[in-house]
Amino acid sequence: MEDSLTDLPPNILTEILSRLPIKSIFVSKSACKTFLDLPSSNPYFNSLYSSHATQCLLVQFGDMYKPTRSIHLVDPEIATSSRYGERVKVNPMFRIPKYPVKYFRRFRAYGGGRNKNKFVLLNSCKGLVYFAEQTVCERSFICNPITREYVTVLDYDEEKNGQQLTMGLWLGFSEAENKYKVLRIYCTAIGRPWEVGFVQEFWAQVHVVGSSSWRDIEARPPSRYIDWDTCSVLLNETVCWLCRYPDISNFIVFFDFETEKFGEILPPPSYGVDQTLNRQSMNIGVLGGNLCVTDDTFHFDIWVMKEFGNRDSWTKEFVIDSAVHTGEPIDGPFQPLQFLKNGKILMLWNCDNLVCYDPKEKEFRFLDFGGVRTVGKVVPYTPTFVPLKESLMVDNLVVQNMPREDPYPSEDP
Amino acid sequence: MAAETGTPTTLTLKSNDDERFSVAESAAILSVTIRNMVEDGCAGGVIPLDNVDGKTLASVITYMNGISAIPGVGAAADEEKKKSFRDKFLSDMDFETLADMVLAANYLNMSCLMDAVSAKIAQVMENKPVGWVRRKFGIENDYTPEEEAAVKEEHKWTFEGVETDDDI
Repeated sequence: MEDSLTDLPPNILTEILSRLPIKSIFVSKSACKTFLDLPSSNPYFNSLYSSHATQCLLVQFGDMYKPTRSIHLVDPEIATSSRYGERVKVNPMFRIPKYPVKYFRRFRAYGGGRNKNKFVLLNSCKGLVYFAEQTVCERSFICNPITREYVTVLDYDEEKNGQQLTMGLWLGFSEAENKYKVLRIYCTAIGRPWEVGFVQEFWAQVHVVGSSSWRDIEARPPSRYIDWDTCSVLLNETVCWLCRYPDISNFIVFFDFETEKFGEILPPPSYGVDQTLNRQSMNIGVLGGNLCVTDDTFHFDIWVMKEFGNRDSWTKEFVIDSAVHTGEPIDGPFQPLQFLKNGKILMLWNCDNLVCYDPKEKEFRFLDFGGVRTVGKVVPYTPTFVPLKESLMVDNLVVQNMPREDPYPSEDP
Repeated sequence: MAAETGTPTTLTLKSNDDERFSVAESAAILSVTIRNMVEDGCAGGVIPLDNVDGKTLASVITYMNGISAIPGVGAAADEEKKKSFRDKFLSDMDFETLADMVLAANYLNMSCLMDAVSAKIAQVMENKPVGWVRRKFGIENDYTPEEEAAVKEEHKWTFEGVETDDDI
Protein backbone atom coordinates (compact mmCIF):
# COMPACT_ATOMS: atom_id res chain seq x y z
CA MET A 1 0.00 0.00 0.00
CA GLU A 2 1.72 3.17 -1.15
CA ASP A 3 1.15 6.46 0.58
CA SER A 4 2.85 8.82 -1.76
CA LEU A 5 3.14 9.20 -5.49
CA THR A 6 6.88 9.56 -5.06
CA ASP A 7 7.10 6.04 -3.60
CA LEU A 8 6.34 4.66 -7.06
CA PRO A 9 9.40 3.52 -8.98
CA PRO A 10 10.99 6.03 -11.42
CA ASN A 11 9.84 4.20 -14.54
CA ILE A 12 6.20 4.53 -13.48
CA LEU A 13 6.66 8.16 -12.46
CA THR A 14 8.14 8.76 -15.91
CA GLU A 15 5.06 7.19 -17.55
CA ILE A 16 2.84 9.52 -15.55
CA LEU A 17 4.78 12.79 -15.78
CA SER A 18 5.50 12.41 -19.48
CA ARG A 19 1.75 12.43 -20.13
CA LEU A 20 1.20 15.79 -18.46
CA PRO A 21 0.74 18.99 -20.44
CA ILE A 22 3.93 21.03 -20.59
CA LYS A 23 3.07 23.51 -17.87
CA SER A 24 1.98 20.80 -15.46
CA ILE A 25 5.35 19.10 -15.87
CA PHE A 26 7.04 22.23 -14.58
CA VAL A 27 4.49 22.65 -11.80
CA SER A 28 5.24 19.09 -10.68
CA LYS A 29 8.97 19.88 -10.74
CA SER A 30 8.37 22.44 -8.04
CA ALA A 31 6.44 19.92 -5.93
CA CYS A 32 9.48 17.95 -4.79
CA LYS A 33 13.07 17.15 -5.71
CA THR A 34 12.17 13.71 -7.09
CA PHE A 35 10.11 15.34 -9.80
CA LEU A 36 12.63 18.11 -10.40
CA ASP A 37 15.25 15.64 -11.50
CA LEU A 38 12.99 13.11 -13.20
CA PRO A 39 13.01 14.45 -16.77
CA SER A 40 16.78 14.77 -16.89
CA SER A 41 17.65 11.62 -14.96
CA ASN A 42 15.42 9.22 -16.83
CA PRO A 43 16.64 8.37 -20.33
CA TYR A 44 13.14 7.49 -21.57
CA PHE A 45 11.49 10.68 -20.45
CA ASN A 46 12.27 12.75 -23.54
CA SER A 47 11.05 10.22 -26.06
CA LEU A 48 7.98 9.30 -23.97
CA TYR A 49 7.07 12.96 -23.65
CA SER A 50 7.48 13.47 -27.40
CA SER A 51 5.15 10.56 -28.10
CA HIS A 52 2.41 12.11 -25.95
CA ALA A 53 3.10 15.80 -26.53
CA THR A 54 0.25 17.94 -27.77
CA GLN A 55 0.75 21.00 -29.88
CA CYS A 56 0.82 24.43 -28.29
CA LEU A 57 1.10 27.87 -29.85
CA LEU A 58 3.84 30.47 -29.56
CA VAL A 59 2.77 34.08 -29.92
CA GLN A 60 4.80 37.19 -30.59
CA PHE A 61 3.05 40.51 -30.20
CA GLY A 62 3.86 43.79 -31.85
CA ASP A 63 3.72 44.54 -35.55
CA MET A 64 6.50 43.83 -38.00
CA TYR A 65 8.31 47.03 -37.20
CA LYS A 66 8.24 46.62 -33.45
CA PRO A 67 8.14 42.95 -32.60
CA THR A 68 8.30 42.32 -28.84
CA ARG A 69 11.08 40.40 -27.17
CA SER A 70 8.64 38.46 -25.00
CA ILE A 71 7.38 35.27 -26.57
CA HIS A 72 4.20 33.82 -25.14
CA LEU A 73 2.93 30.26 -24.89
CA VAL A 74 -0.70 29.27 -25.37
CA ASP A 75 -1.85 25.81 -24.31
CA PRO A 76 -4.92 25.40 -26.53
CA GLU A 77 -6.63 22.91 -24.21
CA ILE A 78 -6.49 25.41 -21.34
CA ALA A 79 -7.16 28.43 -23.53
CA THR A 80 -10.34 26.97 -24.93
CA SER A 81 -11.73 25.58 -21.71
CA SER A 82 -14.78 27.52 -20.72
CA ARG A 83 -13.23 28.72 -17.49
CA TYR A 84 -11.46 31.56 -19.25
CA GLY A 85 -14.32 32.85 -21.31
CA GLU A 86 -13.49 34.74 -24.46
CA ARG A 87 -9.98 35.84 -23.61
CA VAL A 88 -7.05 33.60 -24.60
CA LYS A 89 -4.78 32.84 -21.72
CA VAL A 90 -1.22 33.67 -22.78
CA ASN A 91 1.84 33.18 -20.64
CA PRO A 92 5.08 35.03 -21.29
CA MET A 93 7.41 32.07 -21.67
CA PHE A 94 10.80 33.54 -22.52
CA ARG A 95 12.49 36.62 -23.86
CA ILE A 96 14.57 36.65 -27.01
CA PRO A 97 18.27 36.93 -26.10
CA LYS A 98 19.82 40.31 -26.66
CA TYR A 99 22.27 40.45 -29.50
CA PRO A 100 24.81 43.23 -29.85
CA VAL A 101 23.54 46.10 -31.92
CA LYS A 102 24.75 45.70 -35.47
CA TYR A 103 25.39 48.29 -38.10
CA PHE A 104 24.16 47.34 -41.50
CA ARG A 105 25.90 48.21 -44.67
CA ARG A 106 22.93 48.82 -46.86
CA PHE A 107 22.07 52.39 -47.51
CA ARG A 108 25.76 53.13 -47.12
CA ALA A 109 25.27 56.28 -49.16
CA TYR A 110 22.98 57.51 -46.45
CA GLY A 111 25.43 56.63 -43.68
CA GLY A 112 24.34 53.09 -43.13
CA GLY A 113 22.07 52.22 -40.30
CA ARG A 114 21.83 50.60 -36.95
CA ASN A 115 19.56 47.68 -36.49
CA LYS A 116 17.70 47.93 -33.23
CA ASN A 117 17.99 44.25 -32.45
CA LYS A 118 14.50 43.29 -33.56
CA PHE A 119 14.02 39.59 -34.05
CA VAL A 120 10.85 38.09 -35.42
CA LEU A 121 9.39 34.67 -34.69
CA LEU A 122 9.45 32.65 -37.90
CA ASN A 123 8.51 29.03 -37.38
CA SER A 124 9.02 25.99 -35.20
CA CYS A 125 10.23 22.54 -36.24
CA LYS A 126 10.23 19.54 -33.85
CA GLY A 127 10.34 21.71 -30.75
CA LEU A 128 13.04 24.07 -32.00
CA VAL A 129 12.08 27.67 -32.67
CA TYR A 130 13.58 29.86 -35.36
CA PHE A 131 13.99 33.65 -35.19
CA ALA A 132 15.57 36.07 -37.64
CA GLU A 133 16.44 39.69 -37.41
CA GLN A 134 14.05 42.13 -38.91
CA THR A 135 15.22 43.93 -42.02
CA VAL A 136 18.70 43.62 -43.28
CA CYS A 137 21.01 42.34 -40.66
CA GLU A 138 21.23 38.71 -41.71
CA ARG A 139 21.36 37.25 -38.22
CA SER A 140 19.15 34.42 -37.08
CA PHE A 141 19.09 31.88 -34.27
CA ILE A 142 17.47 28.64 -33.19
CA CYS A 143 16.37 28.06 -29.63
CA ASN A 144 14.73 25.46 -27.44
CA PRO A 145 12.53 27.36 -24.98
CA ILE A 146 12.21 24.36 -22.66
CA THR A 147 15.92 23.79 -22.17
CA ARG A 148 16.49 27.55 -22.53
CA GLU A 149 19.32 27.10 -25.00
CA TYR A 150 20.05 28.79 -28.29
CA VAL A 151 22.56 28.70 -31.12
CA THR A 152 23.33 31.42 -33.62
CA VAL A 153 22.90 30.39 -37.23
CA LEU A 154 25.51 31.41 -39.78
CA ASP A 155 24.74 34.86 -41.18
CA TYR A 156 23.51 34.85 -44.73
CA ASP A 157 24.90 37.52 -46.99
CA GLU A 158 22.38 39.86 -48.54
CA GLU A 159 24.87 41.85 -50.43
CA LYS A 160 26.54 39.02 -52.25
CA ASN A 161 25.97 39.21 -56.00
CA GLY A 162 24.19 42.49 -55.78
CA GLN A 163 21.21 43.54 -53.79
CA GLN A 164 18.95 40.81 -52.52
CA LEU A 165 15.71 41.04 -50.64
CA THR A 166 14.95 38.18 -48.34
CA MET A 167 11.35 37.02 -48.79
CA GLY A 168 11.42 34.47 -46.01
CA LEU A 169 13.34 31.97 -43.93
CA TRP A 170 12.13 28.58 -42.71
CA LEU A 171 13.62 25.98 -40.41
CA GLY A 172 12.99 22.40 -41.48
CA PHE A 173 14.26 18.87 -40.99
CA SER A 174 15.43 16.15 -43.34
CA GLU A 175 14.73 12.72 -41.87
CA ALA A 176 16.98 10.82 -44.28
CA GLU A 177 19.99 13.01 -43.53
CA ASN A 178 18.99 13.55 -39.90
CA LYS A 179 19.77 17.23 -40.25
CA TYR A 180 18.10 20.53 -39.64
CA LYS A 181 18.22 22.93 -42.54
CA VAL A 182 17.16 26.48 -43.19
CA LEU A 183 15.58 27.57 -46.44
CA ARG A 184 15.98 31.15 -47.56
CA ILE A 185 14.01 32.58 -50.44
CA TYR A 186 15.14 35.92 -51.79
CA CYS A 187 14.61 38.03 -54.85
CA THR A 188 16.86 40.13 -56.99
CA ALA A 189 15.64 42.94 -59.14
CA ILE A 190 16.88 44.83 -62.12
CA GLY A 191 15.46 48.31 -62.37
CA ARG A 192 12.58 49.68 -60.36
CA PRO A 193 9.07 48.28 -60.37
CA TRP A 194 7.67 51.22 -62.30
CA GLU A 195 10.36 51.21 -64.95
CA VAL A 196 10.17 49.52 -68.29
CA GLY A 197 12.33 46.45 -68.36
CA PHE A 198 11.90 45.77 -64.66
CA VAL A 199 12.85 42.17 -63.91
CA GLN A 200 12.37 40.43 -60.61
CA GLU A 201 13.71 36.96 -60.01
CA PHE A 202 13.30 34.57 -57.09
CA TRP A 203 16.06 32.35 -55.78
CA ALA A 204 16.51 29.82 -53.03
CA GLN A 205 19.36 28.98 -50.70
CA VAL A 206 19.75 26.22 -48.18
CA HIS A 207 21.94 26.18 -45.11
CA VAL A 208 22.51 22.95 -43.23
CA VAL A 209 22.59 23.98 -39.58
CA GLY A 210 26.16 23.68 -38.36
CA SER A 211 27.72 23.81 -41.81
CA SER A 212 29.95 26.65 -42.96
CA SER A 213 27.96 28.09 -45.85
CA TRP A 214 24.67 28.98 -47.41
CA ARG A 215 24.29 27.06 -50.63
CA ASP A 216 22.46 28.34 -53.68
CA ILE A 217 20.27 25.54 -54.92
CA GLU A 218 19.33 24.77 -58.47
CA ALA A 219 15.63 24.53 -57.79
CA ARG A 220 13.90 27.88 -58.22
CA PRO A 221 10.86 28.97 -56.31
CA PRO A 222 7.88 29.83 -58.49
CA SER A 223 7.98 33.41 -59.59
CA ARG A 224 4.33 34.09 -59.00
CA TYR A 225 3.40 36.18 -56.05
CA ILE A 226 3.15 34.04 -52.97
CA ASP A 227 2.29 35.28 -49.53
CA TRP A 228 5.55 33.85 -48.28
CA ASP A 229 5.12 34.93 -44.76
CA THR A 230 1.48 34.68 -43.82
CA CYS A 231 0.46 31.65 -45.83
CA SER A 232 3.08 29.07 -44.98
CA VAL A 233 2.84 25.87 -42.96
CA LEU A 234 5.39 23.27 -42.00
CA LEU A 235 4.26 19.69 -42.57
CA ASN A 236 6.76 16.91 -41.83
CA GLU A 237 9.68 17.59 -44.15
CA THR A 238 8.00 20.17 -46.31
CA VAL A 239 7.03 23.78 -46.03
CA CYS A 240 3.93 24.65 -48.04
CA TRP A 241 2.62 27.97 -49.31
CA LEU A 242 -0.75 28.92 -50.70
CA CYS A 243 -0.36 31.07 -53.78
CA ARG A 244 -2.46 34.15 -53.36
CA TYR A 245 -2.01 35.09 -57.00
CA PRO A 246 -5.22 34.24 -58.82
CA ASP A 247 -3.80 31.75 -61.27
CA ILE A 248 -4.92 28.37 -62.47
CA SER A 249 -1.48 26.95 -61.93
CA ASN A 250 0.41 27.17 -58.66
CA PHE A 251 -2.38 26.48 -56.19
CA ILE A 252 -0.12 25.27 -53.42
CA VAL A 253 3.67 25.17 -53.71
CA PHE A 254 5.92 23.25 -51.37
CA PHE A 255 9.64 22.82 -50.68
CA ASP A 256 10.98 19.44 -49.61
CA PHE A 257 13.90 19.71 -47.19
CA GLU A 258 15.16 16.29 -48.12
CA THR A 259 15.18 16.51 -51.90
CA GLU A 260 15.70 20.30 -51.81
CA LYS A 261 13.22 20.71 -54.62
CA PHE A 262 10.04 22.66 -55.08
CA GLY A 263 6.81 20.95 -55.98
CA GLU A 264 3.22 21.78 -56.72
CA ILE A 265 -0.06 20.64 -55.32
CA LEU A 266 -3.14 20.89 -57.48
CA PRO A 267 -6.56 21.87 -56.16
CA PRO A 268 -9.36 19.36 -55.59
CA PRO A 269 -10.51 17.95 -58.95
CA SER A 270 -14.01 19.29 -58.39
CA TYR A 271 -12.81 22.88 -58.11
CA GLY A 272 -14.12 25.00 -60.90
CA VAL A 273 -12.18 27.87 -62.43
CA ASP A 274 -13.93 30.56 -60.38
CA GLN A 275 -13.26 28.80 -57.16
CA THR A 276 -9.64 28.16 -58.00
CA LEU A 277 -9.07 31.83 -58.70
CA ASN A 278 -10.69 33.11 -55.55
CA ARG A 279 -7.60 32.78 -53.41
CA GLN A 280 -8.27 35.67 -51.08
CA SER A 281 -10.87 33.59 -49.29
CA MET A 282 -8.51 30.70 -48.79
CA ASN A 283 -5.84 29.67 -46.38
CA ILE A 284 -3.88 26.52 -45.60
CA GLY A 285 -3.15 24.71 -42.39
CA VAL A 286 -2.45 21.30 -40.91
CA LEU A 287 -5.03 19.12 -39.15
CA GLY A 288 -4.30 15.66 -37.81
CA GLY A 289 -1.01 15.54 -39.72
CA ASN A 290 -2.65 16.35 -43.05
CA LEU A 291 -2.49 19.44 -45.21
CA CYS A 292 -5.80 21.23 -45.43
CA VAL A 293 -7.32 24.21 -47.15
CA THR A 294 -10.05 26.46 -45.81
CA ASP A 295 -12.22 28.09 -48.38
CA ASP A 296 -14.96 30.51 -47.48
CA THR A 297 -15.80 31.55 -51.03
CA PHE A 298 -19.38 30.35 -50.84
CA HIS A 299 -19.74 28.65 -47.51
CA PHE A 300 -16.92 27.70 -45.25
CA ASP A 301 -15.34 24.43 -46.33
CA ILE A 302 -12.33 22.62 -45.00
CA TRP A 303 -10.66 20.30 -47.49
CA VAL A 304 -8.17 17.76 -46.17
CA MET A 305 -5.53 16.15 -48.34
CA LYS A 306 -5.44 12.62 -46.97
CA GLU A 307 -2.38 11.64 -48.98
CA PHE A 308 0.19 14.34 -49.52
CA GLY A 309 0.65 15.16 -53.19
CA ASN A 310 -2.26 13.02 -54.37
CA ARG A 311 -4.84 15.34 -55.88
CA ASP A 312 -7.57 12.73 -55.72
CA SER A 313 -7.20 12.42 -51.97
CA TRP A 314 -8.64 15.90 -51.34
CA THR A 315 -11.70 15.34 -49.18
CA LYS A 316 -14.22 17.97 -48.13
CA GLU A 317 -14.19 17.01 -44.46
CA PHE A 318 -16.10 19.88 -42.94
CA VAL A 319 -18.76 22.22 -44.25
CA ILE A 320 -19.24 25.00 -41.79
CA ASP A 321 -22.02 27.52 -41.64
CA SER A 322 -20.23 30.50 -40.20
CA ALA A 323 -23.45 32.50 -40.20
CA VAL A 324 -24.76 30.36 -37.35
CA HIS A 325 -22.96 32.59 -34.90
CA THR A 326 -23.98 36.08 -35.89
CA GLY A 327 -26.48 35.62 -38.70
CA GLU A 328 -23.96 36.87 -41.23
CA PRO A 329 -21.27 34.71 -42.79
CA ILE A 330 -17.90 35.58 -41.37
CA ASP A 331 -15.08 36.52 -43.70
CA GLY A 332 -11.84 34.69 -43.31
CA PRO A 333 -9.08 33.90 -43.78
CA PHE A 334 -9.13 31.00 -41.33
CA GLN A 335 -5.97 29.03 -40.75
CA PRO A 336 -6.56 25.57 -39.23
CA LEU A 337 -4.08 24.93 -36.43
CA GLN A 338 -5.01 21.64 -34.77
CA PHE A 339 -7.67 19.30 -33.48
CA LEU A 340 -8.36 19.62 -29.79
CA LYS A 341 -8.83 16.60 -27.55
CA ASN A 342 -12.61 16.85 -27.70
CA GLY A 343 -12.63 16.84 -31.51
CA LYS A 344 -13.02 20.58 -31.84
CA ILE A 345 -11.04 22.45 -34.45
CA LEU A 346 -8.78 25.33 -33.46
CA MET A 347 -8.16 27.95 -36.11
CA LEU A 348 -6.47 31.29 -36.39
CA TRP A 349 -8.80 33.94 -37.76
CA ASN A 350 -7.52 37.01 -39.55
CA CYS A 351 -4.10 36.25 -38.08
CA ASP A 352 -4.99 37.66 -34.69
CA ASN A 353 -7.88 35.80 -33.13
CA LEU A 354 -8.47 32.19 -32.22
CA VAL A 355 -11.60 30.37 -33.23
CA CYS A 356 -12.74 27.08 -31.82
CA TYR A 357 -15.27 25.18 -33.94
CA ASP A 358 -17.21 22.20 -32.63
CA PRO A 359 -18.20 19.97 -35.58
CA LYS A 360 -20.72 18.01 -33.48
CA GLU A 361 -22.61 20.93 -31.96
CA LYS A 362 -21.87 23.14 -34.97
CA GLU A 363 -20.76 25.96 -32.70
CA PHE A 364 -18.17 28.67 -33.08
CA ARG A 365 -16.36 30.30 -30.22
CA PHE A 366 -14.20 33.34 -30.81
CA LEU A 367 -11.32 34.07 -28.47
CA ASP A 368 -9.19 37.15 -28.60
CA PHE A 369 -5.75 37.88 -27.24
CA GLY A 370 -6.79 41.10 -25.61
CA GLY A 371 -7.23 44.23 -27.65
CA VAL A 372 -4.25 46.16 -26.30
CA ARG A 373 -1.53 44.37 -28.16
CA THR A 374 -1.21 43.71 -31.88
CA VAL A 375 -0.72 40.05 -32.58
CA GLY A 376 2.42 39.71 -34.68
CA LYS A 377 2.82 36.01 -35.23
CA VAL A 378 1.19 32.80 -34.04
CA VAL A 379 3.22 29.65 -34.61
CA PRO A 380 2.28 26.03 -33.89
CA TYR A 381 4.84 24.60 -31.47
CA THR A 382 5.30 21.19 -29.87
CA PRO A 383 7.78 21.37 -26.96
CA THR A 384 10.71 19.03 -26.60
CA PHE A 385 12.97 18.33 -23.65
CA VAL A 386 15.80 17.12 -25.85
CA PRO A 387 18.87 19.34 -25.36
CA LEU A 388 19.84 21.42 -28.37
CA LYS A 389 23.14 19.70 -28.97
CA GLU A 390 21.40 16.33 -29.16
CA SER A 391 18.68 17.67 -31.49
CA LEU A 392 21.02 19.43 -33.88
CA MET A 393 23.80 16.81 -33.77
CA VAL A 394 26.52 19.24 -34.71
CA ASP A 395 29.72 19.77 -32.79
CA ASN A 396 30.86 23.12 -33.98
CA LEU A 397 27.97 25.26 -32.82
CA VAL A 398 28.24 27.05 -29.53
CA VAL A 399 25.16 26.40 -27.43
CA GLN A 400 24.36 29.33 -25.20
CA ASN A 401 21.87 29.61 -22.39
CA MET A 402 19.11 32.16 -22.59
CA PRO A 403 19.55 34.60 -19.76
CA ARG A 404 17.04 34.49 -16.96
CA GLU A 405 15.10 37.65 -17.51
CA ASP A 406 11.86 38.69 -16.04
CA PRO A 407 9.27 37.41 -18.49
CA TYR A 408 6.87 40.02 -17.14
CA PRO A 409 8.73 43.21 -17.96
CA SER A 410 6.97 46.46 -17.29
CA GLU A 411 8.11 47.61 -20.71
CA ASP A 412 8.98 45.54 -23.68
CA PRO A 413 11.76 47.27 -25.63
CA MET B 1 -4.04 -30.31 -16.56
CA ALA B 2 -2.65 -30.13 -20.07
CA ALA B 3 -4.77 -28.10 -22.43
CA GLU B 4 -6.54 -30.05 -25.11
CA THR B 5 -6.90 -28.48 -28.52
CA GLY B 6 -10.06 -26.43 -28.61
CA THR B 7 -10.66 -26.55 -24.87
CA PRO B 8 -10.16 -23.17 -23.26
CA THR B 9 -7.68 -23.38 -20.43
CA THR B 10 -8.29 -21.88 -17.04
CA LEU B 11 -5.44 -20.74 -14.89
CA THR B 12 -5.33 -20.33 -11.16
CA LEU B 13 -3.62 -17.18 -9.96
CA LYS B 14 -2.52 -16.86 -6.35
CA SER B 15 -1.94 -13.48 -4.70
CA ASN B 16 0.70 -12.82 -2.07
CA ASP B 17 -1.94 -13.05 0.66
CA ASP B 18 -2.98 -16.51 -0.51
CA GLU B 19 -6.19 -15.68 -2.32
CA ARG B 20 -6.81 -17.81 -5.39
CA PHE B 21 -8.59 -16.77 -8.56
CA SER B 22 -9.61 -18.68 -11.68
CA VAL B 23 -9.19 -16.89 -14.94
CA ALA B 24 -9.28 -17.92 -18.59
CA GLU B 25 -5.80 -18.26 -20.04
CA SER B 26 -6.78 -16.11 -23.00
CA ALA B 27 -7.50 -13.23 -20.61
CA ALA B 28 -4.58 -13.87 -18.29
CA ILE B 29 -1.95 -13.73 -20.97
CA LEU B 30 -2.61 -10.01 -21.36
CA SER B 31 0.09 -10.08 -18.70
CA VAL B 32 3.44 -10.85 -20.28
CA THR B 33 4.70 -12.01 -16.89
CA ILE B 34 1.93 -14.62 -16.66
CA ARG B 35 2.38 -15.59 -20.29
CA ASN B 36 6.07 -16.26 -19.69
CA MET B 37 5.27 -18.34 -16.62
CA VAL B 38 2.79 -20.42 -18.61
CA GLU B 39 5.35 -21.00 -21.34
CA ASP B 40 7.84 -22.04 -18.70
CA GLY B 41 5.46 -24.78 -17.63
CA CYS B 42 3.51 -23.32 -14.72
CA ALA B 43 0.15 -23.87 -16.37
CA GLY B 44 -0.37 -27.15 -14.64
CA GLY B 45 -0.27 -25.75 -11.16
CA VAL B 46 -1.01 -22.49 -9.58
CA ILE B 47 0.68 -19.30 -10.69
CA PRO B 48 2.08 -17.44 -7.70
CA LEU B 49 2.09 -13.65 -8.00
CA ASP B 50 4.21 -12.50 -5.10
CA ASN B 51 3.92 -8.80 -5.68
CA VAL B 52 0.17 -8.43 -5.91
CA ASP B 53 -2.35 -8.61 -3.08
CA GLY B 54 -5.76 -10.24 -3.41
CA LYS B 55 -7.80 -7.07 -3.64
CA THR B 56 -5.68 -5.65 -6.46
CA LEU B 57 -5.47 -8.97 -8.27
CA ALA B 58 -9.27 -9.23 -8.26
CA SER B 59 -9.45 -5.81 -9.97
CA VAL B 60 -6.78 -6.74 -12.47
CA ILE B 61 -8.69 -9.88 -13.37
CA THR B 62 -11.88 -7.85 -13.88
CA TYR B 63 -9.85 -5.69 -16.27
CA MET B 64 -8.39 -8.67 -18.10
CA ASN B 65 -11.81 -10.26 -18.54
CA GLY B 66 -13.37 -7.01 -19.69
CA ILE B 67 -10.74 -6.19 -22.27
CA SER B 68 -10.36 -9.68 -23.69
CA ALA B 69 -14.14 -9.92 -24.10
CA ILE B 70 -14.04 -7.11 -26.68
CA PRO B 71 -13.05 -8.67 -29.97
CA GLY B 72 -11.02 -7.19 -32.75
CA VAL B 73 -7.74 -5.43 -32.95
CA GLY B 74 -7.57 -2.02 -34.48
CA ALA B 75 -11.21 -1.72 -35.54
CA ALA B 76 -12.36 1.75 -34.57
CA ALA B 77 -15.62 0.68 -32.94
CA ASP B 78 -13.84 -1.87 -30.79
CA GLU B 79 -11.24 0.69 -29.78
CA GLU B 80 -14.08 2.96 -28.67
CA LYS B 81 -15.57 0.13 -26.59
CA LYS B 82 -12.20 -0.61 -25.01
CA LYS B 83 -11.76 3.06 -24.22
CA SER B 84 -15.14 3.36 -22.53
CA PHE B 85 -14.49 0.16 -20.61
CA ARG B 86 -11.19 1.56 -19.35
CA ASP B 87 -12.72 4.92 -18.44
CA LYS B 88 -15.49 3.25 -16.46
CA PHE B 89 -13.11 0.79 -14.83
CA LEU B 90 -10.85 3.55 -13.54
CA SER B 91 -13.47 6.16 -12.83
CA ASP B 92 -14.16 5.54 -9.16
CA MET B 93 -10.70 4.65 -8.01
CA ASP B 94 -8.98 6.72 -5.37
CA PHE B 95 -5.30 7.48 -5.60
CA GLU B 96 -4.18 4.57 -3.42
CA THR B 97 -6.09 2.08 -5.56
CA LEU B 98 -4.68 3.63 -8.72
CA ALA B 99 -1.17 3.35 -7.28
CA ASP B 100 -1.72 -0.33 -6.46
CA MET B 101 -3.09 -0.88 -9.98
CA VAL B 102 -0.13 0.74 -11.68
CA LEU B 103 2.35 -1.21 -9.57
CA ALA B 104 0.50 -4.43 -10.39
CA ALA B 105 0.49 -3.53 -14.10
CA ASN B 106 4.22 -2.92 -13.86
CA TYR B 107 4.92 -6.24 -12.13
CA LEU B 108 2.60 -8.18 -14.41
CA ASN B 109 4.01 -6.40 -17.47
CA MET B 110 0.63 -5.33 -18.83
CA SER B 111 1.33 -2.36 -21.05
CA CYS B 112 -2.29 -1.50 -21.86
CA LEU B 113 -3.24 -1.32 -18.18
CA MET B 114 -0.06 0.59 -17.37
CA ASP B 115 -0.86 3.14 -20.10
CA ALA B 116 -4.45 3.49 -18.95
CA VAL B 117 -3.64 4.00 -15.26
CA SER B 118 -0.68 6.35 -15.94
CA ALA B 119 -2.91 8.41 -18.19
CA LYS B 120 -5.61 8.48 -15.53
CA ILE B 121 -3.22 9.67 -12.81
CA ALA B 122 -1.82 12.29 -15.20
CA GLN B 123 -5.36 13.41 -15.97
CA VAL B 124 -6.06 13.94 -12.29
CA MET B 125 -2.82 15.91 -11.88
CA GLU B 126 -3.03 18.08 -14.94
CA ASN B 127 -3.45 21.82 -14.64
CA LYS B 128 -3.63 21.65 -10.87
CA PRO B 129 -1.48 23.85 -8.65
CA VAL B 130 1.43 22.59 -6.61
CA GLY B 131 -0.29 22.64 -3.25
CA TRP B 132 -3.21 20.60 -4.50
CA VAL B 133 -0.91 18.01 -6.13
CA ARG B 134 1.08 17.60 -2.94
CA ARG B 135 -2.04 17.11 -0.82
CA LYS B 136 -3.77 14.75 -3.24
CA PHE B 137 -0.80 12.52 -3.85
CA GLY B 138 0.83 12.63 -0.43
CA ILE B 139 3.96 14.31 -1.72
CA GLU B 140 6.32 15.68 0.85
CA ASN B 141 7.84 19.05 0.08
CA ASP B 142 11.55 18.46 0.47
CA TYR B 143 12.59 21.92 -0.67
CA THR B 144 13.77 24.62 1.67
CA PRO B 145 11.77 27.82 1.22
CA GLU B 146 14.70 29.39 -0.65
CA GLU B 147 15.10 26.38 -2.94
CA GLU B 148 11.39 26.33 -3.68
CA ALA B 149 11.35 30.03 -4.46
CA ALA B 150 14.31 29.56 -6.81
CA VAL B 151 12.65 26.71 -8.69
CA LYS B 152 9.40 28.65 -9.05
CA GLU B 153 11.26 31.73 -10.23
CA GLU B 154 13.00 29.69 -12.86
CA HIS B 155 9.70 28.48 -14.28
CA LYS B 156 7.58 31.50 -13.51
CA TRP B 157 5.71 31.27 -16.78
CA THR B 158 4.20 27.94 -15.89
CA PHE B 159 2.32 29.22 -12.90
CA GLU B 160 -0.03 31.46 -14.78
CA GLY B 161 -3.03 29.79 -16.29
CA VAL B 162 -2.85 26.96 -13.80
CA GLU B 163 -5.64 27.19 -11.27
CA THR B 164 -4.66 28.81 -8.01
CA ASP B 165 -5.36 26.99 -4.78
CA ASP B 166 -8.30 29.30 -4.13
CA ASP B 167 -10.08 27.96 -7.14
CA ILE B 168 -10.30 24.42 -5.88
